[in-house]
Amino acid sequence: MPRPEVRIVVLYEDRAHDSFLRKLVKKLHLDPVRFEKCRDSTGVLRSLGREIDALRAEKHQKNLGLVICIDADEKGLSGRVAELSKRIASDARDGARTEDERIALVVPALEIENWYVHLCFPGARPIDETRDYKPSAEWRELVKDLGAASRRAMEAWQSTADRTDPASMVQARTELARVR
Amino acid sequence: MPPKIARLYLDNYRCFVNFELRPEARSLLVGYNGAGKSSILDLLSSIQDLVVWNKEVTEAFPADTVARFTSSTDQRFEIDIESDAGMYRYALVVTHDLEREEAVIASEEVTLDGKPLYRFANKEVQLYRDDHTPDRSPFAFSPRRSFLASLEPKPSFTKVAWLRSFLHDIWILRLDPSRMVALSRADNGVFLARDGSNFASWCRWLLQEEPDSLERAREPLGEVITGFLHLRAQTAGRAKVLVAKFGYPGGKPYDLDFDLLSDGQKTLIVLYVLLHSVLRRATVLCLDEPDNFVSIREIQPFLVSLSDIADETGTQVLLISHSGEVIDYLGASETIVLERPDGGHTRVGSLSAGDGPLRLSERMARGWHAAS
Repeated sequence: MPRPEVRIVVLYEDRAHDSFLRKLVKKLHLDPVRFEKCRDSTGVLRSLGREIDALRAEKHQKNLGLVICIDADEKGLSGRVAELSKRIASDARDGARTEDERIALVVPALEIENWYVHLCFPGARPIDETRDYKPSAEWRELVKDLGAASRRAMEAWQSTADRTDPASMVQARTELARVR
Repeated sequence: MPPKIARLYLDNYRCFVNFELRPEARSLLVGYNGAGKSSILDLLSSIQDLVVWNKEVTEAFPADTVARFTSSTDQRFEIDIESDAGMYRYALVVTHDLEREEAVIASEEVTLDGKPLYRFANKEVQLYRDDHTPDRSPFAFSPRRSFLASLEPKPSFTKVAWLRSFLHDIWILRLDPSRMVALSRADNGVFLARDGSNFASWCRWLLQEEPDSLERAREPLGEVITGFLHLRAQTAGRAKVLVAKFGYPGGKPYDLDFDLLSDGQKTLIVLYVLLHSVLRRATVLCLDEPDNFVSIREIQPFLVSLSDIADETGTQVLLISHSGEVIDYLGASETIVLERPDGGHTRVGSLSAGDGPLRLSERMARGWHAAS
């Protein structure tokens, strides 16, 4: 059987995203996937219009979808989502995202590092979505072997929300349901 | 933490003078032609030949590997390996007689966190036990070979033996599908040749010893090669030939001798079989331009599979590529640029993904990748 056409395109920032998302899309049975690493949040924002235009140009193929992963950073979850929505409206030829489009906005807050720590260290829950976990002992341990860290994270990833889940993760689950 | 090469040091070797490289768990080496990318992998091959396969130093480090930039006839190499036990260092000094085209080992040393495990100097070997205390008196040994290749495994030398085992499990491949033949030999398959030329023999060995690894590769290969079903060793007289079975809906399955496949098909088969067999036991996998012969659509799925399995196994991956697909997937954070300014010796160049809209590969194609 030849490889099927790419169904899902994943737009993301960096290596930490890459390791996490490769395993997440597998866990969610989203396949086959094209990964577009954009280096940082600016790169993701810059690529948005082009990717959405490309997706819409192929809208006769109903099973195509786009997952956009970008850290909330200092903008916070709602601030980043608002920025993404505004950017799509301005950069994509046909404007804002509509309800029926298979476009998911995944916005870890503060950053993907917070999600890794939340998933890999149950003792650290609930994590603080405004805190930078990069200097934390937990992240410094995880970053030594990102492959193992993302494996651990996926073992802990639940399809339904846990009461300790950070708000950005809860929202991401809802968003990801749009492309499944 | 999986062990990995943390640092390589080369001095007076081909285009390298006093050169240091610090690869990550996954690193891509890029650079102009002749910048020395493949020479890095050649050095690892040479050290493996010397320390694992017991080749003579003159054969492992021929006279033409001495850099043209210096008048010295000494070559120096160091490999630092980060492990749970600490930082291992393998250090080697090779002295050449360029007129006679002969080389000897001037010194060779293994340390762990700076403490000795093995030392060869002045034609004498001194072994140290795992607690770093000397094991009996030094003894004479030929400077033409590494004593490490002859080291008997003993309970008191597990640490130095670990280092040799680490070097043994480095896989270095520069695939050349034009050299891959279908005919297999029973005595030629335990190790895959660095150019993949004995793939048929190696596959025959895998079919006997590790059939699961071929089974694991079957499904992904079915996705990348239209109609591919499986590989098998078919008896042809007194020999065995590697054949690939193909099928198509409504048609009768058919066999093709491995050497009748296209270069791209052969390369994909070798790469996916490697992923599902070698990567499970390799410490480091070095692939020199694995994307050669492979269609653009197949490059990223291979990289993703490689990354997934390397994540699972902890295998370090060193890639060399000129492909934009590879460069953009790994990105600036995992890419090391080698350059030779003014044609002199190699150095690690600066690399910036920039703030503009261009992909890294596009920046590199324009020569705009250097950080200001």
